[in-house]
Parts: sequence; C-alpha cells; structure tokens
Amino acid sequence: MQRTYLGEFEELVLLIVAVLNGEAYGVGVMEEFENQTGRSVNISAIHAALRRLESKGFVSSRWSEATKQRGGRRKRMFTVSQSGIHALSQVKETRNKLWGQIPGMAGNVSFS
Amino acid sequence: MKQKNQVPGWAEKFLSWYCRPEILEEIQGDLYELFDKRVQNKGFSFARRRFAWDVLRSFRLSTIKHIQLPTNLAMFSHNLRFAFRRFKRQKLNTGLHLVGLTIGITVCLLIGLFIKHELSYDTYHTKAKRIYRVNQVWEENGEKEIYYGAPTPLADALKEGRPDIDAIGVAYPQNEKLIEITPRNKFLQSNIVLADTGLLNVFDFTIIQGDAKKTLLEPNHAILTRSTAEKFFGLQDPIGKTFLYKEDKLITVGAVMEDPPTNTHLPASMLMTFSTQDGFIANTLNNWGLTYGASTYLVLKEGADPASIQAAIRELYDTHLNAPYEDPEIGYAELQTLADIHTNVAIDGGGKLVKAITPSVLWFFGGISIGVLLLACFNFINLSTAQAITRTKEVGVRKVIGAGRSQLINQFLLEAFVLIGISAVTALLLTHFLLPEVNSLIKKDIAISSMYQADFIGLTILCLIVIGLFSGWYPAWLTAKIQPATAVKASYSFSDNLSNWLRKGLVVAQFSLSAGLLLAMIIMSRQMKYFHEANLGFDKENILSFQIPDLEKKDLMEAELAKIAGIQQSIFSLGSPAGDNTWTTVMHQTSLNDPERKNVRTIWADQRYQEMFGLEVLAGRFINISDTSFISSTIPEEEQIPKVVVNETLVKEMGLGTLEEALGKRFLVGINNWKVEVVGVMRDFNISSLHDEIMPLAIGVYPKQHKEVSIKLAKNIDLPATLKNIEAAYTTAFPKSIFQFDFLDDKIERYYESESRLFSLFRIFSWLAMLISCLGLWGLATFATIQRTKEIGIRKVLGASSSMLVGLLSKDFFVMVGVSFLLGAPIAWYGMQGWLQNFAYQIPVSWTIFAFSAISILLIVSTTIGYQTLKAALSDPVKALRYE
Repeated sequence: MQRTYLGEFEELVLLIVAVLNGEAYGVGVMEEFENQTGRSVNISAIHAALRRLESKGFVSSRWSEATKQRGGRRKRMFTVSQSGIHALSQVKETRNKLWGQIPGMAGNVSFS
Repeated sequence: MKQKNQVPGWAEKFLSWYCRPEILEEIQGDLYELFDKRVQNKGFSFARRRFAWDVLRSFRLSTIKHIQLPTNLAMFSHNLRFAFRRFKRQKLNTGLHLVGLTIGITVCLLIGLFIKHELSYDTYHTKAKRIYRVNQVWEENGEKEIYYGAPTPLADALKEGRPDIDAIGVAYPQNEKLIEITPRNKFLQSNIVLADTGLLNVFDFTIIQGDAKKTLLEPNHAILTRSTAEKFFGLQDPIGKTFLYKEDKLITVGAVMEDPPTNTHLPASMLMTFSTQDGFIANTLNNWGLTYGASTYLVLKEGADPASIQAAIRELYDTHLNAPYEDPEIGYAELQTLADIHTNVAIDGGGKLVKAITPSVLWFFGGISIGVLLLACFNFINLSTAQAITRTKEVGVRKVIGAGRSQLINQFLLEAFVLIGISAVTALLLTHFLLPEVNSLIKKDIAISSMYQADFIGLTILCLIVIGLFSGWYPAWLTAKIQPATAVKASYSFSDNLSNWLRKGLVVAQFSLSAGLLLAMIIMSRQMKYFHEANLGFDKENILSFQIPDLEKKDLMEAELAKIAGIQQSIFSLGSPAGDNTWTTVMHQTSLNDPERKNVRTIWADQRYQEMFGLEVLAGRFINISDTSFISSTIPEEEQIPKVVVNETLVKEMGLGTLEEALGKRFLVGINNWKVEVVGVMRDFNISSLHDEIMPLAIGVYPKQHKEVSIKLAKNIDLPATLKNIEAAYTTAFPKSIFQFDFLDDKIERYYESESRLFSLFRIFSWLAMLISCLGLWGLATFATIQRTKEIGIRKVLGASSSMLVGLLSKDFFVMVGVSFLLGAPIAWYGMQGWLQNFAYQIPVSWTIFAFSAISILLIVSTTIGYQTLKAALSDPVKALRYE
C-alpha cells in the first residue's frame, strides 16, 4: 500500500476539492477554503497545494472552456482521484481510531 | 478588455517572465478573476496591490521555469567531472602536481605575508604621509654618520614661528628598566618610551581610559598599554595606581591605551612623561651637540616643503653648534619620511626598539618566492606535457566525435585550474597553520589576519590565474594538437622537437635554480660556521659578564665572588672584547680637531685582562694597575700620562713605526684630553663582529670605569649551581637590582643574528625548491621509462646488461643536470660574492665548495631517478614486449 504523507493544509484543500465536486479550480477552492475554515489564504498557497496533490496523484485536472471572464484564460478544473479518496478515508479512519481510544470520550463523540 | 490594462503592468510581465508556460495560464486566470472581484468589493488600488502581492507570492520553486544550462556550462560541468575522474585514476601524477604546486604557493604566500608586513610599517597612522623623523647628521671630511636621535633643544626651537609644522613630538625609547610593583614583584620591562604630549598629536595612540594629554604633562606619570596594565596590575583598574621605576622613582598611571600594532617602529609598552626637569634630560636642555636616542618627529602641514624646514634646522645648528665650536665635524639634521624608517638601515640600524630591514633582503626573498613558484610551474608544464602522451587516445576519440581544438584546450586548462585551485586552498590552510612557526623562526609578529585582507586575497587570486594560464596553456595546446588519425593508432609518440626541447629547457632551468640555491646555501653555511668557529684572537669560552650598578660596592662584589668555587678568575673592566661597552673616540698626535684624526676604540681594565682573554703582547708590556698613579686626581689633568697598550692596527694607522719604535710614543685621545703613552703593543684581535675590519684599539687603566665584571668559569663544574652562587653574590652586593648576565660567546653570536635568521629561512626554501625540482624529475623519469619500455625490452633480449640500460636511461638526465650546474653555479657564485662583501672577514670560495655542491646534486638526482631506471632495467623483457 502506498503511503503518501498528507499535510494538514493539503488535507483541507483535498477535502474542499471533493466538496466542490468537479467544480474546483484555484479561486473557487480559495473562496471555499476561506468560507469553510475562516482562515484567509493566499492564492499562491492554494496553487502550490493543488500542484503537490496532483503530483501525488490525489487529484487530476483538465482545462475548462475559455470564457470572457478571467481575461480569456481557461480554468484548470480539479477532481479528486480514486487514490485521493482513499487517502482521505485513511486519514479519517486513523482519526476515528485515535478518538475512540481517548479515555472517557469513547462512544459518545459525535463529529457534527 | 478593459481590466487588463488595470493590473500593474510590471507584475504581469514579471509573472509571465518567471512562470513555467504550462501553468502560466492557470495562475494568470485565477489572478485576473481575483482582481476583478476585488475591484468590485474593495476598490481599485486595493486590487492592484493584492495582484502585485499575489504575483510575488506565486514566485516559488515549483512555478519558476526550469533553468536551461547554456551548452558551454554543461560542457563545463562535464569537464569538471571528467577532470576529477582522471585525478582519481592517476593518483601519482595528480599527487606530484599537487605537492609541487602546494609547496610553491605556500612558500609564495608566506614570503608575501612577510614582505607585506615589512612594507606596512607605520602606514596605519592617519598622518603617516606627513610625518618626518629628524635625524642627526655628523659630517666630517665629507663622511656622514646619521643617527635617529636629535638634540633636546631642537624640538623647542622649532615649536615657535613655524607655520608649516602641525605637530612636534619627542619619543625617547629606554633600555630594559627595572620595575617594582611590590617589593616581591620586580622585573625588567622593555619598550618603555619617554614621550611628550606632542607625540600624541603625531602618532595614532588609541586611548581607552584616562586623559592622555594631562598624564604626559605631569612628571612621573605614565600611559600604560592594555597588556602592560594587565601585566602590572592584573584585572584591577590601573588608573591612579603607582609603581617604582629604576628603583627610586614613583610613577603614577594616568591613562591606558591599546597595544600598538606589531608593524610600528615604536612599539611602546608604556609612554612615560618626558620631563625636562629630570636629571639627565635637564642636562641636555641647552646642549645642541648631544644626541642620546630621543627622536624628534614632525608633522608637516599639507603641502609644506621638508627642504625648507631642513634648511631652517641647519641654521639653528649653525648658530648653536657649528659656529661656537670650531670642530672639523659639523652637525645638522635631515628629515626622514616615516615610510622610510623601517627600510633604511643606514640610519644607525633604523631605531632603538625595532631594527630596520634592508630592502635587498625583501628583494632577495621576493626573488626566492618567485623562483620557487616558477619551479612549481615548470614542474607542472613538464609533467603535463610528458603526460600528454597518455591522453592521445582520449583526444583522438574526442576529436572524432567532434570536439574542436579550443574546446579541448578549455578542457585541459580547466584541469590545470582545478589542480591549482586545490593546491591554493591547501596552501592557504598550510600558511594559516605555519605562520606562527615562521613568526617564531624569524622573530616577527605577522598577524594571520593580514592574510585575509582584500588586497592580499585579490593579489593571490590574480597570481593564481596567471600561474594557471602560464603553466596550463602550453600543455593544453600541445595535447589538443594531437591528430585523431595518428592518435588512435596503437603507438604514438611525440616526435615534436619543440616540446622535447622545451621540456629539457625547463628541467635545465629548474636545476640551474636548484643548483644555484644549493651552492649559495653551502657558501652561506660555511660563512656562518666560520662566524662561530673563527679565531677572534682572544678567548671567549666559559666567560660570562655583567654590569654592576654601583662602583662603591666593587670590593664587596669581588670578595663575594672570591668565595665561589668554580670561578677560575674574575676581573673588572669597562667591557669584554666583544661587547657594546667599549668606547670609541678620536685620536691624533697633536690636535684633536685636526681633520686627519682617526677613530680609536678604548677599553679600561687592569693587568688581569690580558690573562682573562689570552691576549698576546708583541712588544713592551701590558698595562698594570699601578699605572693609575699616572692619572691620579692629585695630578693636574694636563700632566696626567695614562699608559696604554695598543694593537698593531693602531701602530700602523698612527704611523708609529715598528712595534718597538712605538713604545714610549704619545698621542692625544678624546677622553679628558689625555695624551696617552704607549707602553706595549699587542697582537690584533677582532673586537667587534667579523663584518668589520679590526679598528685601532688602546687599553688603559681607568678604575672609575671598571663597571663590568667578567668571570671565567673553570671547566667541568656544576654550571647551574655556580650561576646561582654568582647571582647570590650579586644580590648580596646589590640587593635592589636584578642580576642579568651574558656569556661572551652568546654575545658574539648575536652579532650574526640577522644573518642566521636569514640563513635558516633560506635553507628551508632552498630545500623546498630542491624537493619540487626532484618531484618533477622523478615524474619525468617515470614517464620516460614507460615510454621506452619496449625499447628496453628489445635491448635486453639482444643482450644489453642492466648496468648499460641504467646508463642509457639516466644519461639524458645527468647531461641536463650537468648543464644546469654549469649555468647555475657561476650565477650563484657571483651573487654570493656580493653577500660576502658584507663581511670584512670571509671564507675563501674554493673549488671544493663547487665540487661539494656538484656531488650533492649528482647524489640527489641519482636517488631521484634511480628507482625508476633500475626498475625498468631489471624488468622482465617478456612482459615489457607484451606491453601494449
């Protein structure tokens, strides 16, 4: 099994790409990130994270059609790949397992 | 679109410049989108600022274009890798290159630092360019004697009415003086300088504590240097502390200054008030004819003319000295620039605390360093060209693939530079660690930091580049010249006459230099040996001497010494034959002001002096203590007739006739206007160093001046115990003073200190030069034998004996070395004649010295090439012929 390290920021970005479900591109991810976490982030950091995720094989990308917005530039649209989903679920599993082992908290922890 | 013009243009351009094309569109798009949104939400300027910020933030390793190495850079890294591979494979050859170059560069660096240090003396003073020292000149019959001192009244006389002088300072360096901090803590302190306040305006002294000017205005005050303060008072605050100077003077510390740098002719350990009220100095106040070691320094105004000041000083001398005293000797002064002080030995050695250095010594060492470096370069050229033969195939293949000649030259030059670079770094490290050793060898204090100054590093790098081009270019050119068609053939040899001759020429040049240095070294060492072993004409073994501070205790001293076993004899006199305590004065038959007057050395002693030093009387008698009756103070001075015994030289110079005729003759000497009478003539002996001819000498009795004790020790005694006893005797007689003595032969040795230091350095460098030459020769011999492997094999098969083969292989080298010797030896001989001219007494340079050096060279060369040639000659011919 391939174990690739997923950083905290990368994990969040990957989750957001998954949430956006095929509509993820640089600015979109950034805005969603800021909405969901309340943290402000620079676009360059999002770009870097996306490129890292792509090189790890967790996301794949394709070009959108060119529109009149964005100075006629195309968007690069990202979707979570199979191994990306696998990585996310693995991280979640590990977390759950660890939460379950915290004494006095087992069983009645909800992730809402 | 409209908004496109609204983003900051530079940021956009910068983005498209650095960003990788495959992701440019994405980033640009996102940034534009954000820009649009921000324009709407937060306004224009905010959006523009953020756009620029985002562009800058996006400049990351992952977004920038891959740097495409230019082709030549790619070749460079390839060549570099190739060079290192080659070095690894050819360890011996690389080692020879590296060792030779490293030695050469190290020698150069060390000598360079030495020269730099010597030339940097006193350059650090802010007014350095305008500072002059006033030197006293005594001129008689056109002969000038110059001293670094000036009479006391001069400074005061110049202080008024000279608008062209900015500052005047007086410095009076002292001999070692007794310092007493507490009765238990007494020692001799060197480099004490008496100074007036003016000196603070002349030189740069960094005061760190206290008021320097106020200190030097008060009598019996001193400014200590930081290290002196620490030595005296440890970590306590030195200001206001006191110590005893010369047993009885209480000195108060008024200020503290930084230690002066090592490159000054005035390395004071403390500045003490130059008080005109002090006994000795007070007596000099109006004396224009007395120079005693206090130097006067002037700072001239910008653009002032030293000549006009010199003329003004001359006038002062004429009024105060030359006119009132009608002496054939006239006095005046010359101004010497500060920069000249450390390199002008003519002025009485340059100074009291630091002796000047002859520029020829600097040239000499500069020459040696360049010589050694040249040797290393020649080595490099020789080894590389000899080696070119092993690279024929490589060059051939490279050429076939399409390498151009200049590319190949670049490649080989690069190899040279890499080797030189490695050697240079090693040499720098070596220099760093060897410098303290060299310092202690030549008794200098060259700071390591001066190695890391920009000018020195810059010069070094420049030199390295020159060396690289000089020694790398020809081998590179030669190797690159190899024709591919011939190169890939199995056997290829250089039938190139030029390179053959060049190689031989370089070997000859190397060995000429080495042979020259060897010969010079042998001549030098013989002369040095002669210094130590020459018969000076008097006994110098087992004799020690010291001064006594107080003549009244002489009898006590004598009585105490008489108790000590192990003392063969002890006497009192003005000074031993080789010492600085003898007096030099003038003599003439009728008038001391006669221009024909001669110089004469005088020693005051009694009859025991003859026995002590084994002097030989040729006519008449030696002086006797009873001769004092002729100079008893009850007799008026004009009627006193001091009896003297003179040497042969005096008889000759004064024209006293034969030795017998000289007896009873009288002449005037410049001491108490005495007309002395000759009672005996002794054989000449060398009273000073062998640099000088024997001077006229007269020995008489003058008990007032018998201040030096000379002690002859018996043989086979317990030396430390005896010395301890002598010290105890001294302390009994002079409890306040510190016992300090010298052995006579040590004193004599000190005359040749500068020569022996020079020689010890020279010896090291000569051996290094020889080593480099031998390394090269060894390398060449190795290649030559490899190249001739087949020839040797065939000769052997055909019946040549091993000894014939050794002869065959080494003949070339011996011829070359022979030619070198014939070239190098005469040049060295000529040069050494010049050096020997420094000494009145020289060794004869006979043919044995030449023979000795020739044989040494032959031995060195045979050892160097012997192993290789023997190996080749003894090798199995079958293997040799199979060698491909």
